[in-house]
Amino acid sequence: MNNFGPAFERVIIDVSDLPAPEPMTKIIQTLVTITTQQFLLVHHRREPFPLFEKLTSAGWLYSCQQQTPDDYQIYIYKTWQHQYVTQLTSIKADD
Amino acid sequence: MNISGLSFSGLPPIDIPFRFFASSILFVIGLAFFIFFSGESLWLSRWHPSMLALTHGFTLGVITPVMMGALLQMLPVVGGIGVKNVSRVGRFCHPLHFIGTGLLMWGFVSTSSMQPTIKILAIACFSLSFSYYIFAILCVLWQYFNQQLSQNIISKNPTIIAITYSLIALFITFVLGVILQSQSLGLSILQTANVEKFLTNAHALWGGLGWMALLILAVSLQVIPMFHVAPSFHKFSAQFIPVALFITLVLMLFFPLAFEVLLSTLLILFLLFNGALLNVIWQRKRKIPDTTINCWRLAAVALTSIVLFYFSPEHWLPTDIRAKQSLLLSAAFIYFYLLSIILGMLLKVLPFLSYTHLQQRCLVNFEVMSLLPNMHELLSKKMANALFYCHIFTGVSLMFTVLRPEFYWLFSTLLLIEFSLFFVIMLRTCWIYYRCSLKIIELEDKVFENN
Repeated sequence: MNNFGPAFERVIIDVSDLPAPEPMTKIIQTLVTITTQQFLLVHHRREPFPLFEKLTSAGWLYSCQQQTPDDYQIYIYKTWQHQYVTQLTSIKADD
Repeated sequence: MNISGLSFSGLPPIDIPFRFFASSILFVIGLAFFIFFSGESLWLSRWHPSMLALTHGFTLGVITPVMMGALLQMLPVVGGIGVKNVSRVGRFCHPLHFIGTGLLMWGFVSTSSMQPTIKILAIACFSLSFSYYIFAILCVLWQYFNQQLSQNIISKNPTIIAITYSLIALFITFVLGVILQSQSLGLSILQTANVEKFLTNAHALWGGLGWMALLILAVSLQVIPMFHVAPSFHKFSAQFIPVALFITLVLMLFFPLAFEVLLSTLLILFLLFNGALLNVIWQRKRKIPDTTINCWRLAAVALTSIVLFYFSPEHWLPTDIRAKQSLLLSAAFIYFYLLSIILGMLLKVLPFLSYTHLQQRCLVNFEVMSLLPNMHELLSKKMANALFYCHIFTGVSLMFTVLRPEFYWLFSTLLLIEFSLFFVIMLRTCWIYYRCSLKIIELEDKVFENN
């Protein structure tokens, strides 16, 4: 436990060097393998809008932050991890 | 930061863009027969009624619908907002657009007393189709810019901005086309032949360079980095060139006397973008052989040659070529520049769309993943390569036919072969998609029964 609830393990993948539609394939394949105690952090070179739509309809939540014009960080997580990820991303944003 | 909860209108069902693509390919097959049965006379002048029909056949019956279908698919990917009631928009505009194109072509070549009625019907079809389509896309753009403003962001998404310009260009092209058609119906809106000639040129340039080439520019800003893992375009090419192109086109409408200077400016701007495009392609990370890349390169070489040909002093050119310069330029621009890019884009988009539509089901049922074909299986590389070489031969035969009209049969035959092959490639992709869809449904039914 920490000051924003139970800690979850972060699984990181980088899809920025993959041509479409491989990023979505890799993200889906990773989502299959992660446990309830894990969430996913994806490094992408653009905002994958179609993925967002499908994540929402499949019950996943996401948060997308643009770091540089060609680097987006996307957190993909479940409802029970919302508070943890929100605080984590807000701290990173403040940094 | 984007938080989940933003409202996205969905991607269009796969049949919506595909109906535009498939109809365009079939339309070219129809055009091949039109060329064959029109004979040599078609190639005498760019003002020949059959040549006007053929030019509009290629621009309105082939290039425009592909761009219309692609835009419906692309907006949710680029801006995160799809067209509202996209199926309705597609199902309404698609038939009206093709009926309108057919009628317009018939109106050009018809000599019967029915001609005015045919032309009025064509205008009516295009009015309904274009106004609904443009309105639907403008609503998306309005929603996009509003959403950005609500987050205190002034959008600098170059693709969306260039799409906005090209859509305005489509509207202006359409209005100019209606004015010119009304003139040919005897309404005498335009007072002098000079004004009519100026508006005809403006109509051609707003359509060719404004609507089509500018939209291709917008699309390339997105698809080349996305499909080929290339760096993003430099700000100058992505932001400055589209604005400069649009302003130059607007100036063209208000300063007819500066027409030649402004046209030269437009060509130089496109040439600059061409350089940027080749540079981005050169810097791509995965340098694997790819027919789409070859199509982009062919288009880039063609555009450079067109600009050099346009600027070359008249006395450098042989008499035969000088006499047909404007027809050669238009033919090369449509066939070797616009159609090469359309070809390359479709070769990438057909398997990509099929794959992503199948892939989207995996988020609901992960077991489906094992049933997905490899994306490369959806489009045979050998067939795509054969199509590319077919395209080059057909284009060369077109240039040859412009100079020696007696070879029109060669061009029409090669055109028929090229697009029949393209249609087979598309059918093959659809068949693999359909078979995989059936397997997914079977699996979903099993899961449903077990639960």
